[in-house]
Amino acid sequence: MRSIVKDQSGTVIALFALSLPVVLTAIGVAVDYSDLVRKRTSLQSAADDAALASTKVLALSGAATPPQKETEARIAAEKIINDRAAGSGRTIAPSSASRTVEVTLTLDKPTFFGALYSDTDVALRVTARATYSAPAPAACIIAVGQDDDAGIHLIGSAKINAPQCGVWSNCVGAGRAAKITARNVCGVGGVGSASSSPPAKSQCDIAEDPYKSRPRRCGRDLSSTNCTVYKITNSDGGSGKGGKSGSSSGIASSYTGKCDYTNYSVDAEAKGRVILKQAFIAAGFRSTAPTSSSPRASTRSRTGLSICRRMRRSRGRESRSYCPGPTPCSTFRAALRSRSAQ
Amino acid sequence: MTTGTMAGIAIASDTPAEPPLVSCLQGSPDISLTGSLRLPGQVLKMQGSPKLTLNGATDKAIAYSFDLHGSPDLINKANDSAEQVAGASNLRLVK
Repeated sequence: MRSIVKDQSGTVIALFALSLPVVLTAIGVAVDYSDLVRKRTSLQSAADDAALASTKVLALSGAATPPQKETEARIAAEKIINDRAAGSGRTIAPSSASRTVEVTLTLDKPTFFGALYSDTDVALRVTARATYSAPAPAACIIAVGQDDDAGIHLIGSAKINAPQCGVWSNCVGAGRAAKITARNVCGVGGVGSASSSPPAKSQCDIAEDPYKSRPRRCGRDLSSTNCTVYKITNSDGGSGKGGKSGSSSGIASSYTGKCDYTNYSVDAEAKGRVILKQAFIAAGFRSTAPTSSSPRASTRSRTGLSICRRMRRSRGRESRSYCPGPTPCSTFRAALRSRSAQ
Repeated sequence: MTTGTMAGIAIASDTPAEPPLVSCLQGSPDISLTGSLRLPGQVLKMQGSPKLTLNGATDKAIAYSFDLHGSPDLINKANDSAEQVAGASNLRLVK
């Protein structure tokens, strides 16, 4: 009898038998948990996709009324859910007013091992909410510079009229007594005293040059074609690059063909009468009035558009500017610093 | 209308912005363009009573800055409705 008590052979089997339920339970919990996580992830993904697709429909719908848009958005979400999470309960709440769609999916998920202990399924519930920003009216008059005191500076009775698009100034959208009429008016660094309709907003996002991906400079190898080009010529008959001191320029002729590139560099320092500097004139220049009511202007340019440049110190003479340039934009920088600090 | 890389642009000039060049419209010229005006490195200065009109539906007037003195008119007849679709790109999940 004593030998039987002291005999330890077979204890491992006994221990294994005793621990087996615990081990099996742990494995079952792990398998069930893993399966639930996987299912929940799948459900969340379906809800996210449904919310995004539905929001996109809500944003782009051409339906006349908000309820109609919301119905279209709901249908779009339903389609995604039916494809990705068939059998799940769903609540789809599109809102045109808040520009959001909220999708909630529920699913009672049975478990493999948990069912041994309980008949109750695990209730999964996921929610996704997507939104879209109201599209800002596209700016059609943009001051892209960031170093001027005023990106748009109006004095006197100057007027800017862009009733169906936006006016945007990266620098302070300043002005005095003048008038800006546009769909929206925005000054990034702040707004001066400009009179605008609607009232100008401040602290807007910086507007970028919408053509920044285009070639930075036209060259003679320009690939653009089919231009109706008004070729710049000097009054003395010269054309193309170069010109004579004091000569004026005018749009003297036009032709259809390859886009042209002009690089006028009339002796600016001597007379202050530079007209064009690296200007490119391409298609669509319908008409110009080579007239000027300004006596001074008439001596300088007979073109509708003249481009002059700031004079630089040259040949030992003081700089002077035909068209005085701007001063540094301390206001703009301060505003940017302020916004960065927030 | 222009094709190629400068499509849609009527007048373009890109020069270093330090210091910015200055494009002047002086006196009373009346300029009517179909196509954008792109002078990102220049100040567009209008003095006197010039009138600059952009007629195209997607035309843009881009300049380093705009400086309008006197009684000039800068008119852009563009309609941004064709570009509002871009707003849908602002979709995002918030929850």
